[in-house]
Amino acid sequence: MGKYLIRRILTAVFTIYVIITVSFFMVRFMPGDPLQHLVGQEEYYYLLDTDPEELESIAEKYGLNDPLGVQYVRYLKSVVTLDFGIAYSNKKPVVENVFSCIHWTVLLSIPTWILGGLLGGVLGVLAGWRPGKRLDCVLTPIALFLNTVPSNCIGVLALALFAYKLRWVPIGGMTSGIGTGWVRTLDILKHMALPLSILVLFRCSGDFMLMKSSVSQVRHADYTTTAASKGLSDRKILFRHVMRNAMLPYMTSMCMQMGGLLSGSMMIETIFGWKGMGQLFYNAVSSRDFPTAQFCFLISAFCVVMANLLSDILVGVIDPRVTVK
Amino acid sequence: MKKRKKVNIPVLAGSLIIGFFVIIAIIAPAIVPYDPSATSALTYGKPSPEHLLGTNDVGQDIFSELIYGTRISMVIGIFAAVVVTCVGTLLALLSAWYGGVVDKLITGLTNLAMAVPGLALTTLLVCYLSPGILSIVVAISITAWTGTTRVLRSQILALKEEPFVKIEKAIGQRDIVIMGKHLLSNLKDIILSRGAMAVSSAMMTEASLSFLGLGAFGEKSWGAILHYAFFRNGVVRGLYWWYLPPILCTSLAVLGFMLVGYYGQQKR
Repeated sequence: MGKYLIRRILTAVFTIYVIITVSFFMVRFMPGDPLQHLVGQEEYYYLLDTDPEELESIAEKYGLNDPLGVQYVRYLKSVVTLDFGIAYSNKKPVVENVFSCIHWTVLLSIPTWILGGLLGGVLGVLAGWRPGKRLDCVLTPIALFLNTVPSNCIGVLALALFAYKLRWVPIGGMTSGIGTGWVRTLDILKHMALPLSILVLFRCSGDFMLMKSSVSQVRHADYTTTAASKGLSDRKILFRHVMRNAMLPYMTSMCMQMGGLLSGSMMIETIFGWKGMGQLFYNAVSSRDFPTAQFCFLISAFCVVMANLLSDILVGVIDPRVTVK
Repeated sequence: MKKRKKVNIPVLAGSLIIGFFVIIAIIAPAIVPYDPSATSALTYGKPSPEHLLGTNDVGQDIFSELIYGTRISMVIGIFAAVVVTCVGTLLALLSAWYGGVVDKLITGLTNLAMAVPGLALTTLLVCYLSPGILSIVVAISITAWTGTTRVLRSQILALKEEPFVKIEKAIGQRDIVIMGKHLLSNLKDIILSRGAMAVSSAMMTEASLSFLGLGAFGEKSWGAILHYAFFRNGVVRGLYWWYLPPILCTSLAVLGFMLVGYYGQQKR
């Protein structure tokens, strides 16, 4: 177990290191002056026209004239100390901007993760346990259908229908800015309702398919047949034998989904004007605010790697067979 | 013994959908009533005999845009899928056939690429690269090949142990001949269905990117039409003839490729 753990942790650290390195070279080797990516496109052309010396001094400040090796070490240092410079959009430190958005995204993504996971899991067990029965016949096509519709399409449709046509929910944003305490909480919940439902719907359909296939594999395993021939009741077979084994791949994938908690809802956040990480990333990208975009990317990559590591550890704990190579 | 092959209905339906869109994409210039980029004075026009799906905020004919959008969406989807499938297959062949260091390297690379949040990296890349069809394809392909490589690698590892491959190897057949003649021809069903799946996911990614306004510059795909419908008040004003058609087209095309890919690999 110890060896397995160390190997996994080393792999994760290495992965993060490679991602950081790639993102460094991505800026340096892209077409165009790297300075353009550092100060922003508009600022760059403005300075190029009016004040080329200022541009030169910025290049000096960022050390763009230094050898690549020196630049690289400095970049690593700035990543470790979380110093990503100033965002062009509002002249605040990038890190501060990002951390002020994170809680809004988490407010959407944690309930999505929990509700989608539970609902998808339960429905998946039921459908996989009795394939071809009514529940399976109704839910599987729906889940398959949801997999073929891009989430932004469903988002736009839902917005048009529920917010504009029926006026059941507010059009966008997170609050109406009124009240405190309970009133405010209720207001936020109202704004959350539609984006959250869509996210849960998508997550649920994905988890449903996963659990269904995992249950239907276990259903034909030898130990299930043995349990049935011992004369155990269906309920006991399902809960004691089938579900326990089907849970393993499900748990690991739930764990891995945690990696997407910060980056998974970009589309929905953009459509519903939800000012979280996703929309911050989108705004950064569309206004060519490269430091912010880069930091958002690194954070979400970091989350994914950590979640994968967590799921590896979890598998090692639940199913020690994998730790022996 | 029945000789007649059973018709695979989902695959047939999928092929029909794909065929429909391919034909539309090819004959687009012949059937559009207007130049899709030509503006006119009639803005936010309702559907009428002259403009089947109305006009947008700058008076462009939405029906013509949609027809031309088919071209862009299909070209990007198929182009990206070809790149993804070729790269994925090549890496799988190299890693499974040669094993050893090559295998270790490629497997490591695959695991690494799988640990990167795909859409985020794609978005970031599009932002750095100059906007155009080629950079969209590159950005979509950069993390999408991993699935194909994984699946094919394990398939080739199994094939490697088959007698007919071992015999070829024993009589000293060149690697490239074995790969082309035996491995690839045995895997062509899987490769094709992975390819169809790759088209559907590439089209979805493209739809998301261009919905965010990060699509190919100057070339309006379905996603881009939806982008304008959403950000230029199409949804606010309830102009369903503007935002609904691109959604339907995207979903239908994705469904077509998905059907072929998903049901195509099951044993008939």
